[in-house]
Amino acid sequence: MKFNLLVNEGPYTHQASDSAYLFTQAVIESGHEVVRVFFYHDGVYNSTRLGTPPIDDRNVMARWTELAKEYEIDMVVCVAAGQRRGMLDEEEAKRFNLDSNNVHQNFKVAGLGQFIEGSILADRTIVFGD
Amino acid sequence: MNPSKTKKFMYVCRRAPYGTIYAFEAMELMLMGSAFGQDISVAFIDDGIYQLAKYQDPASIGMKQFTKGFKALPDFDIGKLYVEEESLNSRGLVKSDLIEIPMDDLENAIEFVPAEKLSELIAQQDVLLQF
Repeated sequence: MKFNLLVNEGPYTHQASDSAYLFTQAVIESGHEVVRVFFYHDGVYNSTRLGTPPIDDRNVMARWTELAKEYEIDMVVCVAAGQRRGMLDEEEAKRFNLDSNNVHQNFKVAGLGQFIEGSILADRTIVFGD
Repeated sequence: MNPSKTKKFMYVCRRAPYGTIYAFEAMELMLMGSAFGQDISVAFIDDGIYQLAKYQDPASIGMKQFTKGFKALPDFDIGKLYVEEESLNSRGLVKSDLIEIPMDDLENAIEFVPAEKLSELIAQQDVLLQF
């Protein structure tokens, strides 16, 4: 079965991102497919490459980027929600003439249409958040 | 993508319009997502019905009244709009407290439905997104 995921909350404050990560892992291990993971609302904060949590805690952001690399998962950060919250990749930072960027390279920054398209392509859309 | 594979999408708006960003960003998703030619409906339940409240003035909290955008939903081919009657009643509101969304010959595209009917509609959806 093909799954499309929506992550609506940021790391640590809320369990949504942890649950989505564990779900993604379980989907892959069970031989199913993840079409896309789309990060919306505060969920865009999961894409930061600058998180440095204490060493005795899980690294929510790094777990996503490592999983994405290992299984070639398509992870997309909403461009509008990201701009609003200062989550920009290199290209976006250049476009706005900003001195820095913070979105990890394993995430793509793209429009909301990517989420809708994922819902059309997938058999199930699963939302993580309140 | 297979264009013949039209899916039923329902947005369930259940939070107050201000206080959190969910309602506003849900509307952005509704409008952007409409371009995919899917079968879209929107349901307002719980505090979400305040999103349709006629008298709003969020200027004093530095917000713009984004909910005016709901009037444009029919222009985006989103014409199936539902308000749950129980949510309205339990908040002491009446139909005339809410805005009307005209569509074609209809004065108001909003349909007021009991929870039982709404749960039937929810059960028919392929993609259910609640904000």
